[in-house]
Amino acid sequence: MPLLEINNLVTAFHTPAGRVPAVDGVSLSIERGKTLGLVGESGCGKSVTAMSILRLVASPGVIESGEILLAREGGSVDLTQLPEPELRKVRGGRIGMIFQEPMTSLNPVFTIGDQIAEAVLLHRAVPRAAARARALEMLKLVRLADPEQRLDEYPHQLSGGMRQRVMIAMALACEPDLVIADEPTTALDVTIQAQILELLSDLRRRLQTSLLLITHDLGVVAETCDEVAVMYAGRIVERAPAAELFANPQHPYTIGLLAARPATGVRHEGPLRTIPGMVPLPQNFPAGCRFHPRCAYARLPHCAGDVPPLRDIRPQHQARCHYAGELGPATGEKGDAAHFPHFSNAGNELRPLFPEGGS
Amino acid sequence: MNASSPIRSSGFWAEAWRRFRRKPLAMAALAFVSLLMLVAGLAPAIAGTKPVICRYKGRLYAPCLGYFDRRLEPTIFAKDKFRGTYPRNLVEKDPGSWAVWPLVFQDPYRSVRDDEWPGRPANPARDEGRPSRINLFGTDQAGVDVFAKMVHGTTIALLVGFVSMGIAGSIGIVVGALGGYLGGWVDMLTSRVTEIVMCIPTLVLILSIMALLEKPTIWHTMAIIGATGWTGIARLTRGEFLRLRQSEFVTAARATGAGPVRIMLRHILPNALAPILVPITFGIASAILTESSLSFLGFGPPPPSASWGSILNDARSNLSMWWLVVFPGVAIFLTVLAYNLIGEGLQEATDPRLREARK
Amino acid sequence: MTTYLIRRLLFGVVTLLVITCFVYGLARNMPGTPLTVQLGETDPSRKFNPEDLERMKRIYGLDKPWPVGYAQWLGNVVQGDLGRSISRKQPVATLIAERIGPTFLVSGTALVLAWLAAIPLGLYASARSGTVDERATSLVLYVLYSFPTFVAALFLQIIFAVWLRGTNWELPLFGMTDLPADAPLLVRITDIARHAILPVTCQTYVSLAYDSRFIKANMEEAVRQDYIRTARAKGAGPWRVLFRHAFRNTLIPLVTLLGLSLPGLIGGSVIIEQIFTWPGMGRLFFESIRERDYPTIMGLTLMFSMLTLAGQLLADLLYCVVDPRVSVE
Repeated sequence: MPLLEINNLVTAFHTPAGRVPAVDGVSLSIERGKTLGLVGESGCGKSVTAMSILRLVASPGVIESGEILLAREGGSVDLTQLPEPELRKVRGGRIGMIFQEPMTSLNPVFTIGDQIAEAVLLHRAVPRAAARARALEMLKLVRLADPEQRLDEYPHQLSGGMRQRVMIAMALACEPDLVIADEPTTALDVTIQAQILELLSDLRRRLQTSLLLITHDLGVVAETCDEVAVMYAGRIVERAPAAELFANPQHPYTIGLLAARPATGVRHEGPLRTIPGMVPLPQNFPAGCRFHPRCAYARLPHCAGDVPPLRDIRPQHQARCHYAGELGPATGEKGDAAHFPHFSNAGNELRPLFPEGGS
Repeated sequence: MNASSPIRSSGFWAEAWRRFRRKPLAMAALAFVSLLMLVAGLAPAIAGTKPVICRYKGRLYAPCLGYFDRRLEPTIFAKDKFRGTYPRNLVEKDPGSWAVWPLVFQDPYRSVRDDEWPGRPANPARDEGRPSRINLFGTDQAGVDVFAKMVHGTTIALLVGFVSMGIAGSIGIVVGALGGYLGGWVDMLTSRVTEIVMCIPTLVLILSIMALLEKPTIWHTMAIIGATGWTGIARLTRGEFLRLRQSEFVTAARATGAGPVRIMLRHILPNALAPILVPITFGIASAILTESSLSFLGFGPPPPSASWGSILNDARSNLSMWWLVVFPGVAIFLTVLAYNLIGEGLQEATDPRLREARK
Repeated sequence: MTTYLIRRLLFGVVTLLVITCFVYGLARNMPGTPLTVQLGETDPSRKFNPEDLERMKRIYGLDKPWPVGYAQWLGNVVQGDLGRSISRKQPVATLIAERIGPTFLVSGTALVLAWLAAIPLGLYASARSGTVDERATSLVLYVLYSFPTFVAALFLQIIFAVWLRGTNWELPLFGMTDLPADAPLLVRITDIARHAILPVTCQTYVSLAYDSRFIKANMEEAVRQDYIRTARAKGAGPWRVLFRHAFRNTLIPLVTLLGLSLPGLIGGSVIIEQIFTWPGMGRLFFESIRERDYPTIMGLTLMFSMLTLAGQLLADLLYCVVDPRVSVE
């Protein structure tokens, strides 16, 4: 039985302009000790999914339906139904969380040591000194230079990368079963990004923790994840083990993403590919398959009329496409899969594939 | 002219107005202030002893204008020895005359005498002057109708707010804009001057200056309130100009050869206006408060000007005349409340951060 | 740190010079002098003859142009002498010392009461933000905030001193005490307390309404920050999030407010003291302006300005204490 299982989660924002379903029937599962990558463009609902797990979605967001089952001895518990005091034991205790913005996610008026120790004290009946010792231990674990000295420093005295290490230390301080990392490296410099990711996967292996890694960067997924779920417009569109997904992408969106990915270490010849059109806003998701307006394979009216189910295409591999598994050369009016409209890649510089990942 | 300019076009203000309109309290406050303006403008037609319009010896006159300025009162009535008493004199000196009278036949500057209006007794004075059908809000020590005084005092309450904040706003914006935009020694100088003025206890300054004047008029009060109340506006303006000075659209404007004055007026000011407008609105409320407390302390404009605060001052010598406290007190309170509510509504309607939070 | 303090002090001295010089100039240019105003009003028959007037003017330095008078005054102040009140025939320092106690009694009590009530109210309002009871509380506070002190003072006077006259609830209208100085201590204390109730109420409600709105606004700002989400993700409960994480950050603007309330604490409120004829600093100032009592006006102006500056300095220093990001430099 998986450690965490999300079934048909619906999280919507109730705005003056109407109901906005940011997460619309998402199902996921994470095995013990494994890493699941949740991939998608900004605004696809992946951060809201992560926030929903710990019920941290800010008002006016509401979890409307679905269940989030966390395994425990002799069964499982539905986090969406858990009373608030019980849920607080899960937060930081069984599930740790790392956020995107290390610059603002730490409280500016408390020392690093205090903030990590607080996480310990909230979940373990230990004396202050022990919590502080644990904080120091964690700082060493996340390989922060001069840990003894850092313990009494304030967040503003640390760089972004260092702060993210502190966030990791805080999330892991109570040895959680699962760590949710919401775009942990997006706000950091490229060189720091690699270090933090490496640290994260290393610690995960050593502590036997499961990891839910939310990112818009397929390169990150390839390096760190065991399984991948691709999200588009509030829904999971494809789910598979990482190797399988990269080898045999089944959903046109995934195919597009992979085609748009610059192969690392290879000098690019010719243009980078992109997916035409824009990510739809939750206020006006298209009917039917939400990707159909941008899809090179779309067959109208079928794709615009019926919502495709998430179905098994290959062993352990699901995709949400009416034609997955039988996609030949594209026949839709959007042209050939190999000829996505592109932009020039003059100077061979690596361009970000997607806009900065957001909530 | 420059595409990157975020100049708040009519779209911004239309949007702000749309948001403002959704706030029932702010709209009620706006309606109340509009009502006050109406009352101020029509004061002589609402309460007075001079006809709004009358036909006398074959010609039409509007003696009520005399309430705005004595020189506007037609001289023929002085020549015919009316001595300010119209009802009997009109009939006696020209039986063919007719007149349209104010809604309430009461004078803000003097007590109405016995039988001045045919068949009506003189205004009661002192403790006898409680509110009645004839004297809606009662009469003061000397028998002057409180309702008439208050109706005519509305002009002062409104003028104080607008004139003094007009002065404070002009000084504050100029000082803040110069300091924020030019920087360097100008900023140094303006900031220090602002700080010094902030250190002067406002009431000390106002009382000293009021004592200095041989015959203080309401205009002096307004000027002094304005001259002392600009520091907050200056600081805010400085901050806005400092921030906007570095923005791309200002650089773009400078690149097109626009001079500093043009940049400040045409490019920065419109963008800085919304946040500056908020403290100005709150300033109107506090100016009204200051004026009425000055009048209350006996430092207001001399009689016959009827400021709401000076009616309260009358009450201090005889507290059993509660109507001298309740009516003007409530009027001052409601006006101050209205401006505060408008300010708050304005703040919420134009603050980009609050706007995002409500999205 | 030292250079910072020296710079602040230097600026403070310059500010004081500018303000006192300005006020001195103003005061001396008011129509009437303490001699004419005082004597002319009280008893016309006792008017000075011209020679006496000249002699008095010389004594008080009123015969010289005001810049000279200002220099004299400044010289004395530097030597620690605030001068003698002309209308009260007492040293200004003594007058001020007499008035500080009563003012502090009212404003100190009001300040403590206001903060004691404002912090829980502000926290309560931000914790229950959006609920019916919070809206009702906020509306009441908003109304209080817009309610002019002097109107409230008059209402209270009418209710407690006129309508309730003769009942147990009657409260004295004016002054600080009706008893002679030799009355038993306990009786005097009760009497003063009864006199202080209305002025303290008036001064409290204004600060209460302002402070709690201020706290609520800052709490709402703090609650929107990312670190609050982090605290919740750690498993902190709602009260812990509110008190420890959000309120600790709200303290930063709050200490500024506290520092800025220092001048009012000792300077008192002119209006409230005037309405209740409370023998404090605010009333002393008001009277000294009426009497054209230059030495007292100047002494009080100097004190008010110094308190304002001290309050700003205090606010800045406290700021450094509560906000680790700011250091004195």
